[in-house]
Amino acid sequence: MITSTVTLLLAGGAYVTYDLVTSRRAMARDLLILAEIIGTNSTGALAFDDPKAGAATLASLQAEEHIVSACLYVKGGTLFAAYHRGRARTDAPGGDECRLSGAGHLAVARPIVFDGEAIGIISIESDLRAFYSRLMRYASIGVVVMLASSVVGWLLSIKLQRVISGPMLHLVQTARTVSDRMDYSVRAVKRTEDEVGLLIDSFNQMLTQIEKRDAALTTLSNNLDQLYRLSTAMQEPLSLREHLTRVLEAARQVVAIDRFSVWALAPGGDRVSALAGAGFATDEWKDFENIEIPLVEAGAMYKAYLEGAPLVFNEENPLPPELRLRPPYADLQAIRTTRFIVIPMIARGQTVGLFTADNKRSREPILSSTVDLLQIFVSHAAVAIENARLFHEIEDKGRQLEIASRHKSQFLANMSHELRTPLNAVLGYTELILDDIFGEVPPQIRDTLERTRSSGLHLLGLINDVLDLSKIEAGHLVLSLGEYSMGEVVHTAVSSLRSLAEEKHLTLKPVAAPYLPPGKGDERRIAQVLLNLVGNAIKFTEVGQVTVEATAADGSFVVSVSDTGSGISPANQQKIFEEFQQADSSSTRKKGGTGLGLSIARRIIALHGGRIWVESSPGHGSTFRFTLPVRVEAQEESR
Amino acid sequence: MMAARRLTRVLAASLLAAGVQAGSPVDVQSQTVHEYEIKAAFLYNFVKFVEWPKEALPEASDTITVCVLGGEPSVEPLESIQGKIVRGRRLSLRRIRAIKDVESCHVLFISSSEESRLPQVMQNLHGSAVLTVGEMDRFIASGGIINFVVERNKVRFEINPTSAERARLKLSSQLLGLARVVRQ
Repeated sequence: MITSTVTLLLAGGAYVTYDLVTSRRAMARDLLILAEIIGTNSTGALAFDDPKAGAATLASLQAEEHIVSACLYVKGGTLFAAYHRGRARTDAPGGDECRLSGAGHLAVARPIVFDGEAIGIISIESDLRAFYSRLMRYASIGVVVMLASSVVGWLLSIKLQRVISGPMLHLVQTARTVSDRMDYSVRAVKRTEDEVGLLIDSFNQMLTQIEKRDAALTTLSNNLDQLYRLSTAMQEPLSLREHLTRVLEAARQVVAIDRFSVWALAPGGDRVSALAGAGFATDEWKDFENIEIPLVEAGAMYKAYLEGAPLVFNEENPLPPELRLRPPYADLQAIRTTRFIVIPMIARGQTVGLFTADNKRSREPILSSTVDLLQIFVSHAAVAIENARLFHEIEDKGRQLEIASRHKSQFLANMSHELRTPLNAVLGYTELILDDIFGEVPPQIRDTLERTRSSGLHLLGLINDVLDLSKIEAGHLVLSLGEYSMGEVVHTAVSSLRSLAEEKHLTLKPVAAPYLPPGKGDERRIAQVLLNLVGNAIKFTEVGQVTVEATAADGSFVVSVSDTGSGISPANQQKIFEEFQQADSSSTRKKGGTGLGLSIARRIIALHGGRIWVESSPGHGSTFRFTLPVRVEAQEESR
Repeated sequence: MMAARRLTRVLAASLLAAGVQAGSPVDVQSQTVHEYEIKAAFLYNFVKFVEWPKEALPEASDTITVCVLGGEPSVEPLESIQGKIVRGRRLSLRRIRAIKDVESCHVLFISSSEESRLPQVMQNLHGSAVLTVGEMDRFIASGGIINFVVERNKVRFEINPTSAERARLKLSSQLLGLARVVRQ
């Protein structure tokens, strides 16, 4: 509408402008011709010096309404005769009278040539009334045309809207509905057989295609989703029954099957029992629970078991009477149907159960594609059954082992206690003898007694270690938490082992950071760990030094014991923290020790919430390092 | 609009200037001009407004003879038209005395001094294509074609178209328009 109005305006404007320019030019030409005629007619008057005749000639211009004035001049520019519109004839005009009137007028002047001689000049001035009235006429015509065409255009557009814009708007509305609601089932309504109708047809076809693809995509993503759920479900720690139920429910989402059931082969393989089902009403399923069918009486299931392949029954190929379940199992509703399949569940080459599916309720045939799909689910279910069985076995064994281990720890704790009591008596009496309580001991006996005492002490140490370990293992070791100074613990350990180091000519130096924060923990146990580490370091170092260092950072003590000994191979670095292990079992005899020290140390540190490890390479010495929270407020769970 | 007006003014001014340069044989506006100077200019102009038959003035002829009969010495200013060009032909002024000489003339000016001889002159000219111009009251009645009259101190003229027709001369309508037409 606006476009056509503007076009109309432009075209009209251009035409009017052209016409006005042309008409103005024509006016000027007409005026020149008029001047020529009047000039020619005035030659006589000029030639015979008759201004009156000249004026009469000019007065003939009265017929031309737009002529404002006309003047005749003789050669030399003297006014000869003049004519002014609406004024009485002037015979002898004044010199100024023929001045051009001014704006809004058009004036021409021409020489009057007679017989090759310019005998005078004529000037004619016209007003532009005609021009303006033409302009006005054009303007009014333009307005009328504009109004008329607008009305006609409006009427046409109403008509066209019904024909073109209406269907277009409908199409746009439909497209919007589709994109807003993501509903590809919407269709545009075709009203005409023209191009718009074709457009609507194509649009609808496009929607149909999109709808089809959408449906295909939905199915695909649904299946993927089910498979994904299935695979995640298999990883969750659920009971076998729950796993199977999930598998079956997932399968029911994908395939058009009324009911599924899974029958597990009992141990021994001569009976089957219903393990899980899907699509059953609650009371229906009750029939299946707690029922065991001897395999040989299981009809179709037994046949599938024997053949190791799926059996499919339908209208054309019904279940033969000999494969039906016989009393007392004939009441199992789900199995008394013509649309029925049995798939043996095989995992790792073993038939672990049987899978059945039926369409008794919907009476739909079971398609072979459905059977293919079901086999995938069945193999999943079979693996689940097999896994569950294996898991049960492992779990049982683990539980048995745990009980055995607990018994062992208890036994050790008891034993240690029982061993220590007589040993204390032996050591006590030996001490008494060596203290000459019973008279002076002869030197050769004293020597023997000293060895007895030393061996007894060693035995006591061993028993104590075993006792500690079994206490820890039995979960009986309780830390007695209290305030302590890590610096003092280090110094005490170093000074009590200094003599041992000096015997082997080793340098033993404590390096404690000057400002260690006050610690909280079981001081006696921490000292035990440190003594064990420093003792080991001295024991396994022949030349060089042993350095003990304690620092504190980020709320933890870091204590390290470095030696210049033979070092520990990476393979042994883990092993040495386990019970009864030394890096080199042959050294046990040489160096002594129970092989329990590091194991106990590891457990004590762990009870404090710390960590112990070794950094070593053979030939370059070892550094045992442990971290320990500065403030231990509660004992960690025993590991 | 302003530009158009200015252009017109410039045009008019240049045309007027051209007119001045071209020179003027008579200044009809001047009151001081002698009567015969005006009459000379009129004679010259009459030639322009009159057409002669071909036999009297053949195409090849390059001279128009203007004869003056009598009026010495007042007709002296008429000499000024000698040699002027009208429609490609030279004006040749001849003073004649004998009546028989009139036959070779295209224009014959008969001074008022010759009033007595007028009938004979007319008689002699009978039927020949000569534009007769006179300056006496009886001239038209005597069969003359154009007669000068002085009205309110201005030179005007009368024309007898019948006489012109008889002489086979075509007078311009403009000439007739300016004259007092007297039919006999």
